[in-house]
Amino acid sequence: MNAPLAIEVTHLVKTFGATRAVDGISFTVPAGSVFGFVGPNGAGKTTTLRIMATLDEPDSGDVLLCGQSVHDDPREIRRRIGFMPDALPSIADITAHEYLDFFGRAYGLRGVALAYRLEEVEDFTGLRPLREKTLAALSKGMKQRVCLARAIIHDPAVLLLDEPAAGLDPRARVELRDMVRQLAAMGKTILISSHILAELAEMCGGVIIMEQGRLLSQGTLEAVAMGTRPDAKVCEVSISVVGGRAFPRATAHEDVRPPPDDAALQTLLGAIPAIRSFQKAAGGDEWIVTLQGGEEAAADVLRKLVEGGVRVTDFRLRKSTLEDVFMNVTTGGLN
Amino acid sequence: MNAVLLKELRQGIRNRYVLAAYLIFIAVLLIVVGVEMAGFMKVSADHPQMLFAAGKALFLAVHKIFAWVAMVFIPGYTAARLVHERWRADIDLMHATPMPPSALLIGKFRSAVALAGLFLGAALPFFGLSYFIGNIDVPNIVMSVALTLGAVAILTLCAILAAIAPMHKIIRGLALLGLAVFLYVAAEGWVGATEGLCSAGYMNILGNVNSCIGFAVGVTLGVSVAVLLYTAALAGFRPVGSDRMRPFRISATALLAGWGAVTALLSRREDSEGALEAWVVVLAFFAIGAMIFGMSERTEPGLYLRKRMPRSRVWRILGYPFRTGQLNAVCWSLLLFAIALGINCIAFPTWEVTEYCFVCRTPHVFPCSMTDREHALVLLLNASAYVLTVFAVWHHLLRRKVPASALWWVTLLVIVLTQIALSAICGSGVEFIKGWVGYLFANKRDVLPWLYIWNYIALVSLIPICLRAARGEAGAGI
Repeated sequence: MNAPLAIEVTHLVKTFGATRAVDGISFTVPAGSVFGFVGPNGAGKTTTLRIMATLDEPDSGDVLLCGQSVHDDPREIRRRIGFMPDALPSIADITAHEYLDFFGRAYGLRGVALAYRLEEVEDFTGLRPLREKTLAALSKGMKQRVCLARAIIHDPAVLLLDEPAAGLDPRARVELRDMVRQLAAMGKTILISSHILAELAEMCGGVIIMEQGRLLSQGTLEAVAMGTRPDAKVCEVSISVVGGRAFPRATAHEDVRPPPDDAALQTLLGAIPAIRSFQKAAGGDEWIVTLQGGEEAAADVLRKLVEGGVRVTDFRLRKSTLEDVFMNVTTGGLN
Repeated sequence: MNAVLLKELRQGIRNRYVLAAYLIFIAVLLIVVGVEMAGFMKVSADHPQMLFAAGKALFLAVHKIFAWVAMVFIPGYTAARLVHERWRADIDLMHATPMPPSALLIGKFRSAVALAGLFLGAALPFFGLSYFIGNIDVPNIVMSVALTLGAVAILTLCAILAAIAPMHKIIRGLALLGLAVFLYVAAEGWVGATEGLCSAGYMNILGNVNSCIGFAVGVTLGVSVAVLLYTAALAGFRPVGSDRMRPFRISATALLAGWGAVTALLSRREDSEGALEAWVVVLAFFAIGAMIFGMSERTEPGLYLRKRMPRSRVWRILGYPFRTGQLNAVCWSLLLFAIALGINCIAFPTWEVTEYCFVCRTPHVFPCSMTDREHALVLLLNASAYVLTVFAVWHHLLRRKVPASALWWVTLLVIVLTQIALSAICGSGVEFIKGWVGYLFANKRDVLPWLYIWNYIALVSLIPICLRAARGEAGAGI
């Protein structure tokens, strides 16, 4: 049975003057999953997130969050989502604790419930030792923690994070990633917009790719990677071989042949039907082979190479990274 | 307790400017009271009865300082904080919570009132001292302080509106500069007015019908302005596309129609002409305000998307001018002019001014007291104001609908139509061609400041467009 949907975006359109910032996009995010929201600058990610957070109104289309339309009851939607924008908190003359207390009250928490929730959130984000410091005295990483704490103060089911790791140092980034993972483990649905694709790939179960206001692709990373190639199930393997003497004879029946040289190896690779192209890496014994058919085809290639007497020292199936997918899918067009 | 109020109070007590202002306020109070008392003690050595007259003088001195601080610092501080929060998108975060926009506005407003209370608390012992010294009674003290707090409330709403209204940062900067000048002038005028009233004695007003009417009119106008400012500021706190101008348009139309009705009731009075003039000027300003606000608004898809549009076609049409959107803003302006025209032409069919109305057949020729040179200056300023206004409105509203090549014809058409409308409302008849601004300003030298202000506003509204054009950005227009 399919998981219920936490986010459903249908035919969303938003224009600013002559610019069509969001151009009829539709996508879904299942409940309890972590999805990456990627695209070049000006793709319309922030606009889409702002519409989801009920900060902007779409020209047409709808967004359902936990089954509730943003048009019907925006205030109810705001109770169910936590929005973390790309701007850091900058309210002057206020401590981190007072800042979170204010937002807790704004979400309707009072008394013991508010105090308990504040303690919980400050412990989770590691802000307890800094609670009495003013926001101006906090580092960027700490401000980002305050921002995350503010987004989860009311225990929302859906989290919308817009560039949460932008400008953070590596340590702060790793800590933020851990917190997001913990939130995901709590069953929250998380949609993260980010340009740091390697980290997104580690955190996200799925990805949504936008460009120039349009949706280019959506799904799990593997599905998107498959879908980005015109010919499905194409993958790359890197094969390292060594030349020299033949395999030592193990039994009397074993074939004793010298290992093929480069030319013979090329002939051998060229004879395998699944292989579409191959080339030798400069300055080494590594060969990069593109083949069609996925993991099964790769296994066949390995078998045929070994049968052909090639001494394979390393055989790696290179999976597409999110960066590869992103570069394949997007064209670099500006909106 | 309102979350915004609590936050603002926490910020206020930690803010160094508030602390500095408070300490300076107390220090100035102590110095002024000390100097006043020392002066009276010296005089009363020879004339003991003079000490009893010191109460009112002491009260007026303390009240003057309190009024200055409360009317300038508090609105200024509120506006500065709001601009900072808006600039850094913190307001957006507040909008992402279930807290209604009115809670934001009320929280900001109440925190300003609380701050005024803080300053009042510091001044209260000195008010008490002046009462115990004598020559001033409790009603005068209470009335003066209450009126000042009322003025602080209105000025704070003005400041909130200037800080939150959607406008270009240069225009906002100029608006805040204008607000600072306005606060200065308002404080100066208010201190003078309350001193005069206090010297005359508020209780004496009850015995004079004209003073009572004037007082009632002042209070009613103050409340009306506060309502308008509140609804306009509330619109600034609500997101674009949320039909945010509806409360403002409804309250403004109701108040202006009410004012017109009161003017009609008082039409037999000798000064009714002045009242009508004032009403028409305010009407025109609100119509222009609606246009300017309308420029920042989008059309009304949000209402359809939220299924909040009335099902009945009649209600949809009737409610059209009151809804958010550029065309709706134009409709609202036309509605206001229609109200003005209707009340002028229908309610006063025998009234002297109306007889000269454009719709009547006996146009009145006003004697021209201006020299040719003055007349030429008026015409020049008028023409430039019209051209600049049409350019600004065209750029913001009609660039895609009206080609640039037709702009001069449009300008000409606007001048003619506006003059006909003004003449029809104000009763200058066909003289609009000669005077260009109708009965109101045709032959009066005091038209010049108005024209300068009009030109200034139009020029300021063109600054962002000119900047974009200078930077060579696409769509700069002119």
